[in-house]
Amino acid sequence: MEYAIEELLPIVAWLSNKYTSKESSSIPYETAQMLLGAVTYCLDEAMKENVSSTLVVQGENGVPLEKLYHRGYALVVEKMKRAKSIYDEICLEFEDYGVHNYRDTLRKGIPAFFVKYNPLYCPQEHFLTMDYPLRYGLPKECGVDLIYTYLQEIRKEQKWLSVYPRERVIACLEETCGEYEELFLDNIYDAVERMEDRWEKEGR
Amino acid sequence: MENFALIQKQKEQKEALALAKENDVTAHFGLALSEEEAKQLMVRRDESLKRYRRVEFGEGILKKLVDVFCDSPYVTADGYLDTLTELQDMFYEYKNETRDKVTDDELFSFMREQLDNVCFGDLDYLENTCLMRLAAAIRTGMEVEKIVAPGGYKLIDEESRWSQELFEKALADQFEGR
Repeated sequence: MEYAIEELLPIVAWLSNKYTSKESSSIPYETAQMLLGAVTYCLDEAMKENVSSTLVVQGENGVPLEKLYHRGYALVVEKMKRAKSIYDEICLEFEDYGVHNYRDTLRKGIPAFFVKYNPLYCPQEHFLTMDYPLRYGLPKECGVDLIYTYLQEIRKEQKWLSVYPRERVIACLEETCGEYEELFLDNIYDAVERMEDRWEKEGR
Repeated sequence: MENFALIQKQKEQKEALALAKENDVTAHFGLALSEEEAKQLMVRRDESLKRYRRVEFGEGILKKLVDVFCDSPYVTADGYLDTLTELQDMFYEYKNETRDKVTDDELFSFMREQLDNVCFGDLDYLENTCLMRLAAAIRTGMEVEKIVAPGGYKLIDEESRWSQELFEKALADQFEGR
């Protein structure tokens, strides 16, 4: 969604005041760019929620952009909490099958995201490279949106994989890549499914 | 970042009015900015912001700049605009150089104190020695609050300066005929 910069500036100025605790009247370009990104991210979040209700943003009878921003911010915070609860759920029965890339992404990367994530000043940033790939690649999202979708997919994947006995999954991975613990960098479910297909054809 | 230039445009009129009002205060010190000079100061401010890649929101620093320096014995009617222009340029430069770890008020009071007590009006010395040392000290991890507190410059000063104590002792010695 495109917004008129004149309408965004008062919100960016308000956010800048908060960012500097009103102790600095100016900020570097990079910080201003980050805050502008934060504002548009929250607005987009609110717009996504309101697409179905054909909300009018501008104009006399429209919802003021400032109100929309605050709604968007609340949605971002809410999404972060939901992402955290999905992550907690995943952790309860998390199985990494010995794949280091998978384990590091889920056990080190994602917690680091929750520590670093700042929904107010930088909700558009997710900080992670997400080294463990999803089956269909990473969605073209950023910030908590990306993490939320990623965790939802990981949860689904864990459920699918739990259908197979652990030894079976490991056997598939070993067949795919000798030193799979260190060297396997692809999606586990994808590898298991392909190997299962092959074994079925071979009658194993 | 062209987008942010809009902010400056929007507040030009307000700032010009504020600067005109400031003349009532600065008149006590024989200082005043004409309408044209106020405009020039704002143009130079915009140039400084662009040069140091900064965006300014709200009231800006011009009013504060005038307030802080108008009663300095080293700010005179002769070259008033040039002095303010140089000071504001330094201000933005050192907001960057101190990595924004110093607040506006802290930087202004540091500049004012050093201008009067260490530089004795020498703007070059303020910029290239005092402020440079402040920035370097902050980069090396020294506590900002200590350096910018009144008298805190001595923590980073590298020259031995006039010692009132020594002077008084020498004076006393002389009177006592030693």
